[in-house]
Amino acid sequence: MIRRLFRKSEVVILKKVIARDKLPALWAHLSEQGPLILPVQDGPVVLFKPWQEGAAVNLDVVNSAVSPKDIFLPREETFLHYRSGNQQLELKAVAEEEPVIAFGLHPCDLKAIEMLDRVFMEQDPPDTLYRNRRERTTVVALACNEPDPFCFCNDFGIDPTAAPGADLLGHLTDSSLLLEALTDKGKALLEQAGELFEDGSGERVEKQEIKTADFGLKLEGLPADLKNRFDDPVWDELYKSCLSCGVCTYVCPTCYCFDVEDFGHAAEGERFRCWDSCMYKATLP
Amino acid sequence: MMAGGHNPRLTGKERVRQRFLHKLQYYPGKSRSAIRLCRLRPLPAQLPRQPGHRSGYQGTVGGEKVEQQS
Repeated sequence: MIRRLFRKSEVVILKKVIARDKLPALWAHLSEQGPLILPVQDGPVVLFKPWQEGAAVNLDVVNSAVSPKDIFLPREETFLHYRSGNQQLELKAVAEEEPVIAFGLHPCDLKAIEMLDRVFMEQDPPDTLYRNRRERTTVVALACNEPDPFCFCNDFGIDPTAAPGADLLGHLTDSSLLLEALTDKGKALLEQAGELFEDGSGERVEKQEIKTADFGLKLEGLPADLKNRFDDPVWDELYKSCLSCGVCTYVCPTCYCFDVEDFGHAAEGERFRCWDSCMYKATLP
Repeated sequence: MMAGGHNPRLTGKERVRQRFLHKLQYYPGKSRSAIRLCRLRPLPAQLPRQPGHRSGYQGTVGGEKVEQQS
């Protein structure tokens, strides 16, 4: 399944350019087919939210305040309704079919989604709720030409100018956005919004080597090293600032624990799942 | 405590350590097929456990204290 999602188009890469001042028209057009989720300025922070007329879309921000993982793993989702009576139980699955466009994810976001794919789709059986969202979502990534001073994706082997796993890769300039189709899904999106774009086949994106900050992280051999530090005294100090609020797991792009609960009563109700956290506490340490 | 009422790690130290090790040791070290969701699919018993791993759990379910030894 991963291979199919990530397979590149075998045709020549389709490139299209759109002027920045036409982007609101593009948002309006794309949102007609289904939810368009993109980075929106929300007070002092930027969050991935469904587009609405007049939304303050911010494509220039490098990092959103919260990871976009909830596009594929919502904070809570009802997936089953039940009703019982006359000694019969009626189950009705909640089906979501409409296509989704996730616009403006960065290469680090995509790396995190790749990690989630391993958890939810490389299982037997795979998680059908997650897989369904992945398959009907077109991902439009934006290359990072100017990483944040605190970005460190180089240390984890991530190229901030490439986006394996995306359907389209965008390159933003002061005046325009160049979109390259990486998959057939990406190509289809460019073609169905054709009138808003100009031909970009003559555009060339010079490959740049972007250096992110060096915080001295040394990942080589880290798993083996940590195995020997299970009883290291550092844990006795490190935990003291933790409030056990669980927020770190909610903003983390690769945390994925969830809980499944029923809400209702014997005659009628729903089954839903919601994010869970390994950091919640029951008793004070 | 997990939302379902079980509490596999009682102290903050255990929880913080688990979080670091899951990201940087357990996850990278496992084969892809061994990745399991913590509640719904417990790790198979034959997988080697870390020294100091807590067997069983203590916590509350429905307001009642529960202690289980594995």
